[in-house]
Amino acid sequence: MNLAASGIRVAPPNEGRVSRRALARARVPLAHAALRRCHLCEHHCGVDRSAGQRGLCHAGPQARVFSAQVEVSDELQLIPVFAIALSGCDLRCDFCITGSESWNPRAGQPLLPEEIARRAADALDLGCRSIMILGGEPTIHLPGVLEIVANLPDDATLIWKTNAHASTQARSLLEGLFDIWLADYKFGNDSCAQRLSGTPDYTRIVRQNLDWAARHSELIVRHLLMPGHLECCWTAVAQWIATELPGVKANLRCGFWPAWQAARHQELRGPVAVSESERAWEMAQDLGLNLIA
Amino acid sequence: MNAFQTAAGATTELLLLPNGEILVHNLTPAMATLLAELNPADRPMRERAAVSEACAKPVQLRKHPDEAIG
Repeated sequence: MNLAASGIRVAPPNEGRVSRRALARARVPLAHAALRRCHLCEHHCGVDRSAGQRGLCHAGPQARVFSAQVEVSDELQLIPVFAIALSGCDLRCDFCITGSESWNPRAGQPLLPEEIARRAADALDLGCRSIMILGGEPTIHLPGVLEIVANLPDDATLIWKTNAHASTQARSLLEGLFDIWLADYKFGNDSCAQRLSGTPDYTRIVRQNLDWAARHSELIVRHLLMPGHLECCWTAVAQWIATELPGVKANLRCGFWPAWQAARHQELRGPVAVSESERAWEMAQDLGLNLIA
Repeated sequence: MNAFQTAAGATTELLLLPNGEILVHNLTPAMATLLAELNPADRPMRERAAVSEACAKPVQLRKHPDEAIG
């Protein structure tokens, strides 16, 4: 998608040349049009979601919300955050902690963008520090996301919580809208990604997204340490961050919760051992990662 | 109790491990306050509870038609 050709000027958040609300509103028709041949994520299904066809995420044209509430479980610099969780996801992580909603885009209630934006604005008035849009995976619902942003205050701190599996097209629609990309880097190699989430070519895609996010917004990279995946996953993730994104904030999460269909995999049937967590932290410190809580 | 604690439909999931450790998902301000009181030695939880209290104002979130979400 060529945004320049569409007459849309891209400005960083809060820069003032074009208001974020206006920018988002202008892109809504483009996002709806994108659903007619969906390439919003890197699966590139190419289906016409507007006409009832379904790709790997199974999502239709209508976004749904399975949770919208104030939370304090995210990074300390972000909380309290008003978190808007959209149903459905383009990945199929067997250990997904919200599997029933993330694997089912029909879960929850239909998204009412103006209503949810008003609730988010209320939460800001009460002292919330930021607004987060997440999933599932929000990338697959860009029309609804843009409609939410188009109704939010321009000066709100907006967080894009993502699996970093977005396509170039999706990123172009998101450019300049979110202050912070909070991105998961889940797997340190393509083999684990394929086995645990059914995602091919994961490493190239996630790195491409993280590189882009670091250049276009503040970036926080999250890694959920999985039992038995210290060497194959965290080591590779940590080394890449240290080398390619030095100084970028990283959040190592060690509270693995054997949720959803994690029991399909022998090593994911319990929590992370204390010894593994300690080794993971030591490695991060040795590599000089900018760890945050 | 702070303002956020009155929000209807707010949900936190807890997983109690055999060793007594508690894992939390979607931590709400109310649950952060409760967990911090249950274990005052848990510094990270105290930080989150403190943030909740510091940012709250003595007014309630309005109830909306879709309040049952989540």
